[in-house]
Amino acid sequence: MAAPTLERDVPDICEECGSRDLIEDTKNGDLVCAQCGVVAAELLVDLGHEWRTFENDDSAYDPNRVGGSINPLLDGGLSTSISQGPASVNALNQRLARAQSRNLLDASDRYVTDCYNRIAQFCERSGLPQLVKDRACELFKLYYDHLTLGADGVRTRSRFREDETLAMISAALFIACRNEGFPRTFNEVSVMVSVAKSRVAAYVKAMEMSLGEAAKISRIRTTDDFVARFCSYMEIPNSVRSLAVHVAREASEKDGIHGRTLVSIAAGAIFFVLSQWREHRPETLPRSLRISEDAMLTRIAEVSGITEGVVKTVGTKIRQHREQGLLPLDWQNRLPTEPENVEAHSRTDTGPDAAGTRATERSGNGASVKRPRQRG
Amino acid sequence: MLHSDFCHLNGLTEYQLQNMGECPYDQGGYFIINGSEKVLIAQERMGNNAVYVFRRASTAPYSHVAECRSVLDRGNKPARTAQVKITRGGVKGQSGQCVMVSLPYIRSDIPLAIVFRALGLESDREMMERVIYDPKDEEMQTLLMSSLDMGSVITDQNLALDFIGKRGNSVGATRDRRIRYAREVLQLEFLPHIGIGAYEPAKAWFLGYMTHQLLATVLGRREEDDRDHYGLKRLDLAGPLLTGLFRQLFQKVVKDARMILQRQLDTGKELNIALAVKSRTITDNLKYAIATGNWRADRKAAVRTGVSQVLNRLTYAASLSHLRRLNSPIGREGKLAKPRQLHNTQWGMICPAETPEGQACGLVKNLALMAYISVGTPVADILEMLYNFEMEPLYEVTAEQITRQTKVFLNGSWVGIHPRPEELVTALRMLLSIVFDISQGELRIGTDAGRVCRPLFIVDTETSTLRIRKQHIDQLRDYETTDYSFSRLVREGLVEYLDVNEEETVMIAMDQEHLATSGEHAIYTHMEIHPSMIFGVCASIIPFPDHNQSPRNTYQAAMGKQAMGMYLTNYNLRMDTMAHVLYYPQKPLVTTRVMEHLQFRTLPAGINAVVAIACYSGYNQEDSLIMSQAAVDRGLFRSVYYKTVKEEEQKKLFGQQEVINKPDSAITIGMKEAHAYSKLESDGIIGVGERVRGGDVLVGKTAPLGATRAAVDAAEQEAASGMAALSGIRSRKDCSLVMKRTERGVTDKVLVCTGEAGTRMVKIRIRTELIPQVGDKFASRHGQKGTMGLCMPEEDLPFNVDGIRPDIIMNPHAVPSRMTIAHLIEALLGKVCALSGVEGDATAFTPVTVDAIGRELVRHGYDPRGWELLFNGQTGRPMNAAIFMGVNYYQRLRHVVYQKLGARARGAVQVLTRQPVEGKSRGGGLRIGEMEKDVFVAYGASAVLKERMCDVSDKYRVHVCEICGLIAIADLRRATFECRGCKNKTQIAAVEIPYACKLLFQELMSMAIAPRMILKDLGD
Repeated sequence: MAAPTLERDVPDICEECGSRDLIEDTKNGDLVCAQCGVVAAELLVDLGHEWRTFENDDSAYDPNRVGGSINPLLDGGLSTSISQGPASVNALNQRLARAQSRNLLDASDRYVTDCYNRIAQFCERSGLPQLVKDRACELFKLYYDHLTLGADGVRTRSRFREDETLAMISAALFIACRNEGFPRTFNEVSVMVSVAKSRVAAYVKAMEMSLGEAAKISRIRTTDDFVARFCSYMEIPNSVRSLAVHVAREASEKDGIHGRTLVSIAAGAIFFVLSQWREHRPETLPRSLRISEDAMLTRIAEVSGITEGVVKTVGTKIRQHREQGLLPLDWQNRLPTEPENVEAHSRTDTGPDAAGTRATERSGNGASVKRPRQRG
Repeated sequence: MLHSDFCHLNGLTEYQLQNMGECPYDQGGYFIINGSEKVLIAQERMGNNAVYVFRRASTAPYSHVAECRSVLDRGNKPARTAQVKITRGGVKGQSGQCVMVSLPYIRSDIPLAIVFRALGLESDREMMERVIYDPKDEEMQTLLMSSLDMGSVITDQNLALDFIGKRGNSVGATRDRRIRYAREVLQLEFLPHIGIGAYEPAKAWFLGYMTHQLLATVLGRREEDDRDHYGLKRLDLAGPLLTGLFRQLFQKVVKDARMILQRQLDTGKELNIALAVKSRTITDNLKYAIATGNWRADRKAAVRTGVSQVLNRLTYAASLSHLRRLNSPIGREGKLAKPRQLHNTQWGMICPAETPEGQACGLVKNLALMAYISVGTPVADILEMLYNFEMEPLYEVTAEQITRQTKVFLNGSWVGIHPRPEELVTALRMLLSIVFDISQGELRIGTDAGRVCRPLFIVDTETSTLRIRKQHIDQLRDYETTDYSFSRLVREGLVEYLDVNEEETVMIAMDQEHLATSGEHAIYTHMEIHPSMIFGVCASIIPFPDHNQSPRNTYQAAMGKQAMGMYLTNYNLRMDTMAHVLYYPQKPLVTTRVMEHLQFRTLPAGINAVVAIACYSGYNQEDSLIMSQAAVDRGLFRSVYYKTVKEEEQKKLFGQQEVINKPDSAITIGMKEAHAYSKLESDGIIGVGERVRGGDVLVGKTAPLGATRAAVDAAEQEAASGMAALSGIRSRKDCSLVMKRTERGVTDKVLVCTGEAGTRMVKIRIRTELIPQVGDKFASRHGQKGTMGLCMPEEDLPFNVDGIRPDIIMNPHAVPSRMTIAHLIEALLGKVCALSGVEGDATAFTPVTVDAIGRELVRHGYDPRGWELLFNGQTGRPMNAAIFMGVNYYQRLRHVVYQKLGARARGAVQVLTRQPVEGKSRGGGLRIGEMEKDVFVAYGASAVLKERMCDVSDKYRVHVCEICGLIAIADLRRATFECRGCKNKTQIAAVEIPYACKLLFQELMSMAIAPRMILKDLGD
């Protein structure tokens, strides 16, 4: 009589023909060799849920025999913890739990958890998605391990000075943003975490050097990334934004502009498009943009984090090239015809992937629906 | 909320909705969270601030208690209940019954007189005036005497406050602090709805009123209050529910911000408001509450579960009914029958038929068709209006005034008195709910949110005729040109919405006939719009419900929600996780008037079938049905079943991304048979129009193996250099989405999009045709459900002179004990309709008679009672008895054998016991349970029993030491056996026992109990 087969007992090579092509026949509970057909094991153990759930089940009882998965971002492995329980029930219990968490979590885990919380806070405040947060935490952990973990698996130190910590966080955020398709400038990250721009850059460099593959640039930035976001900060309507995106794209390759930073091209393009709008249809400008040219320069400089001078220079350069097809032919029609309600524009992030995310909503412009295949 | 003022769909025309891919019949009123439609179920609760007097059990120390659940209408203060109680006999030297008051935070009950004194009343006379409004009422004065005597020792306000303070939480405090504490309790916590602050005079009046009510009840002048009276109930809809939650969350945000700012201040950091305000709190928690239905702001508070439910999309009527559902949050286990019973005051407000059976019976209710829930108006506006009408505010009231004037109550709280209440009544009648109780000298006004109301025709009392005229109806009829509407009727004073309390003060005629015969007996002020309006959505679909035994209507109301039909017109665009659509739904021949408004004729859920009531072969015993094979072949009750499955590329940490692709067997472990992947297209996703069966892969997906990044990297590098196949490193694991093993179908739609976290997501809708087969469930509209027992060939079915054969043969035994007369009347009327080609009206409480229908049948040449001479289909001979045959509307219910059938010969086993797994979805076995076992025992079939319990279940071989009887060590490969304890290597026996038995033995051993198997050779 064959004993039931647990996973550890399941052979991975067919005893008859030596093939590794063993297939689990879940219907009959057998492991069958795809080559010779021999039944290598039978009465397999069902590895799915041990219990069944019903509609009217009380959720109070958890039939699970094991705890949650181990968090790979922390060092602590399996452990026992005192449950907090509801506040009203037992004050002593709570104190015990708190005392335990103080002691049990070792210094490095406590430090790292604190850093993760800070990263989460920064991301929340700048409207960055979960994806970026996770990635930033991961990078931080990798770099932290790189700095502190000796070859023998023992930590040489557990925490860093406050300013070093912040710099590490800023670098992790910068790389995470860039690689997940929500690029931020050094300036922006610097303001967000309040670390000097040069330090952010230095730590990014250091991180890239030491982490290699993990921190490698996986996506090339374009002007689009910045134009869209700056426009959204300035509450510029979508139609004008798309004009600016177009202009920035076209202008990047032109003489005197090519080679400038993406941010400055983006800012210049916005300045150019806004000044065109002012010239041709000033009456439809939203109230926040009914300002002098200088004020507008200041505003753009503020949003993009570069100097007014650069914005102006690039803007002027773009203006010089305007005859060379910088603007689409119908550009005048794309300007708004009546003042729009500014409130209507959302201020959410508009990274290139954000459009894809929205496809889950009704519009379906990013979602694709498969068509029936033609059959002969 | 969909179709609300803030919804994109708000105010769109039918055409625009259609262009957006929306169903124009979808009425909104629900939320969409994480892609699922959520309904907020209305929650029933007791109204606040009103005074209720209840009698206590004869064993309790107090005989009666007056309660007031006092809540301030603004702010977020919790409710405070004030109680005024009266003892059964005398206490502490008092001979009579004594009135005591229980105050918040005060441990023991305080004598009434002391509370009055603490509230600033000096003399007994003043106290008497607060309680007894008629100075000549000696009976009540006598009753109150001993209570006032109890306060005679406490002579001034400070003494009284100290008396109260001593019984509070202030242990060891000075006298001054005790007094301050007591004053704070009275000002801030006692009856907060009167006011928070120095409102003692008004609070004294209100306490006096509570006592008055209590004494009046004790003296038998007034009935005990009825807890189940629907006028006392309030319903919290989505608005108040969300408002409450938002208020709590906002408070939490402010509290957290304050805490963080405080810490910033303490540590001397720069103040950073952006850092302090947690902007996500409100959004995230609101989302969480709507998504899970756990209605609470912080995780520590008690949960209110099931507030939000997934909208039922089985049938259109089921969705409608779900949106009008009510829930009473009382424990389901409670044996108390009272709150579950239908109350007289629920007439016209709550459907008498539609409630679930079982634990939630009577606790979950449904609104009647015309019932409306009040939104509520701000109290301040109403108060101002009342003052303009010369109402005397409560704090200025004097004792002389009160005896002559009428007390004015606003939402349960006493706001003032008025000398000429009739003026108020006539002025306010049309604006708000107003009850003038002359006998009590009280005027009660209700303006709060959550009162259930219903519209009634207004009767002109002078002429005893309706205010509404033919001309109004005509205008209403062509509303498109005249722009006339129901709300116009309300505005013009032809129709009025009354709440339960106000309804009790008016005279309502049932119909025009009653109105015409009035005068002699009664003066009517209102008339019902139609008596059938007492029913809710699901009960309104039942024809002639007034001819059925009442539980049958309840059964049908529950079953109508399980019928297949057309749940929305845009079902082809939707990706519902599960949906049924009937192929050829028909509008019923026998209709009710409301069906038009419920869109039941547009989006029906059933088919008109020719039904004969006969035994005919016996394949319809015990509520089964014989169905015509030919009719089924022609498409009767055929339906499609849509099921949508989802797969997402999950991003894990350290770059361990799952990938949707066609798995490569060279680098992937845990693959299925090669042909399982054959239907995938090159992108790893199945195409549209593919016929799929159990085991087929719908979406190929692989996850990286190995926990550490290093291992993955090494494997990936090797894979990249083409070494993988040679060196045999398999770096990925198959985790493809596979079709459930018992299902089949055709891929109907494939949607590829991006998930919330930016991950690639695929949804696949599978379509399955469900042809009725033996075992499928059907029901008429009268709680008469049954499964198909036989699909009879058409030639075998009986036929009448016209050659008509029934679609369904129902067993006659289903009728007498259940008394579903309406089923028979429907069949009769259905027959007339089928013959004449008109719709029949079967609305409740209309004067349609069986005789009238019979006469119509005779006109078509049929028997007036529906009997027909049928010929046996198998013999061709006329049948001995006449058979009742007619047309009934039948529903196909969603329980179909295709989704329930499961069997197993061999397969996987459970981890713990090694017995076969349970459940159809896991390919589980069918259990020989406690009762099934008894059958084999009774038969003496012990070999069968042993086979079922052990051999085919979890047979296991253990090796037992014959000396000690414990399990020995067995090395089967070397064929050596050993019991270390006994140093025994020879006397060991192999024993076959269930694995569960072995498990039990080992568990016992772990508890220091040695179960020994003492073996005896039985020979052969």
